[in-house]
Amino acid sequence: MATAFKRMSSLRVLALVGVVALGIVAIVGSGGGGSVSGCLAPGPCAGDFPAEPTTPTVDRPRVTTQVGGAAVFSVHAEGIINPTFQWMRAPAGGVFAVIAGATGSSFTLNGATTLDDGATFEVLVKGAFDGRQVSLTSTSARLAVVSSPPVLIQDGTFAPGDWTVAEIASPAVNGPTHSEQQISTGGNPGDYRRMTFMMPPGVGELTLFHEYQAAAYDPASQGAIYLVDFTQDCLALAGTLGAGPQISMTQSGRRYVAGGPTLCGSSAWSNTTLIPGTFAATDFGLIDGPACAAGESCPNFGADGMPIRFGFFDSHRGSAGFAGGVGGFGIDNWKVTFWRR
Amino acid sequence: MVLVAAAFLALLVGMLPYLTDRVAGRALLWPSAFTLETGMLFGAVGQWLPSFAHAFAFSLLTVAVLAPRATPRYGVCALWAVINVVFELGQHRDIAKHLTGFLLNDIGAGPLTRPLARYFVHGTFDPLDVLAAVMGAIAAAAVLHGLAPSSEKHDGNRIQANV
Repeated sequence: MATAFKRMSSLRVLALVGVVALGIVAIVGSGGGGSVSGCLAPGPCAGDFPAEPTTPTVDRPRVTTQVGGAAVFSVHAEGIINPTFQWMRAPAGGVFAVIAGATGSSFTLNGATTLDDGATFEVLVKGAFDGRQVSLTSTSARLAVVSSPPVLIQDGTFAPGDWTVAEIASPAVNGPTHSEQQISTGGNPGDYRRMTFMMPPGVGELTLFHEYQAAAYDPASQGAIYLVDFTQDCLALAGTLGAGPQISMTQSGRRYVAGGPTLCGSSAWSNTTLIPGTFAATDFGLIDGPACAAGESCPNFGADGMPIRFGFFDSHRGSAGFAGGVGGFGIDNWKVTFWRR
Repeated sequence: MVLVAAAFLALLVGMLPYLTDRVAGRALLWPSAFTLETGMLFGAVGQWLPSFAHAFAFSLLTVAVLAPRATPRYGVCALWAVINVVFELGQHRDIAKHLTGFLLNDIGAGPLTRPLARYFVHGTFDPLDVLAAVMGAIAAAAVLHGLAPSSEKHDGNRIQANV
C-alpha cells in the first residue's frame, strides 16, 4: 500500500484523498435517505434536526390510587439516545429527593399511603441529543391517594340500546351523515362500537356526542367526585378522514369534553395515548348547552351536583375548498373510573 | 475524462430525488431552498437511487484520479460498496445507538463526531439502500470493464490504460 502511494504523484494522492473524503461527506450530508414516504407524512421526519430536545413527558399528569394500592408512572423521552432515568419525589409542599433504585423509564409505587397523597414525581433524563449530552427534567405527575374505593362505569359490548348519539350537523340539506353499529367480532376482543361518517365538500360540521345510558354517576348518592380516570381502545377505520374521540360528559343539559384527541391505531387497536387519562372538574370545558352562570360550578363534581352521564365525543369540520370525505373508527373497552376522597 | 463525466452525470441524477421528492431540511448538505417537494416524482426509485448513484459515481471518480494501470480497478468499486454498506448498516436502530454512544461518549462530541452521530441517529436504515449501493458498485465495475481495451481485459502485463 505504501509502495503504491510512493509511485503516485503527491497531486494524485491529494486528489484521491479529496475524492474519498468528498464521498464520505456526501454520505453523511445526505441525511440518511431511506423511507421518503414517511418523511412526506405530517409530523417529525427521521431526517429532521430539531434544535432542542422536547421536554420528557410523564404519561399522566395525575395518578390516583387507593390506600395500599399501586401507582405507576412512566415517561416518554423523544429523541434522546441511550437515555438514563432517575425518578424523584417531592411530598406535598416539600422538595424533590431522589428515589433510590428508581432508574427505569417507568416507576411503580407500591403500597401507597396517605402520606403519599399530593406528592409530585418527576424524572431526570440524561442522554445524547443531536450529538451532545443533555440533562432534562420531565413534566411532573401528581399522586392522589384516596381512601374510598373507586366506582366504575364501563362497557365492552356496546349494545345499541345502551348508547345514544346527539349530533350538531350542518348544512341541514345534503349535509354530513353518520351511522353507529355494534359489531360482534373484531373488537379488542369481541364486540365493539363502530362509527362511520361522511362529510360533504365545502363548509360543514359534524359533531357527535356518544352517551352511555346504562349507568350514570349521581354525586348526591355516590359522593363527590375527586378525579375521573378515563380509558378506551380505539381503531381508525378505512377512509380519508381521521377521527379523534375524546371523553365527554353531560350534566344538567350541558355537554363537556376534556383532554386531547385519542390517537386511534390505524392497523391495530390502541389504548388512549394522547389524552392524559385523569381529569378533575376543571379539566372539562363546556361546548354545548346553556352558558354557565357566575359562581356556578360547571361541571359540578360536588355532592350537590346533578347526575352525570359519560361518553365520548368526535367532531369534524370542513372549510371552503374542503374536498369532503368519509371516515370511521371503533371504540372498545370504554371505562370511566370515579375516585372519591 | 469519460469516467469523470459519467460520475458527475450519475451524481446529478442521484441528487434529483433530493430536489423533488424529499422534504426540506432532511439532508444536512442540501439547502432547503433547493427542495421543490413536488411529491413522489421518482416513486420507490427515489428511495434508493441516491445510494446507487453514490457508489457508482465515486467508484468512477476514484479510479479516474488513480494512476492508469492495465486492469480495471474493481477493488475500488468493492471499497465504495463496503463504505456505503457500512454507513447504511450504521443507521440500523440497534447499531446506531451503540455507534452514537461510542462517538459521543468514548471519542467525545466534536465537529466530526456530532454530524456523524446525527447521521446514524436520524438516518433510516433501508435494505434497499444496501442493495442499491452494491448494484451501483457493480455497475461501475461493468463500466470500467467496458471501457478497458479488449487486450487489457485479458492481459494484465500490459501497462496501458485509457481510463
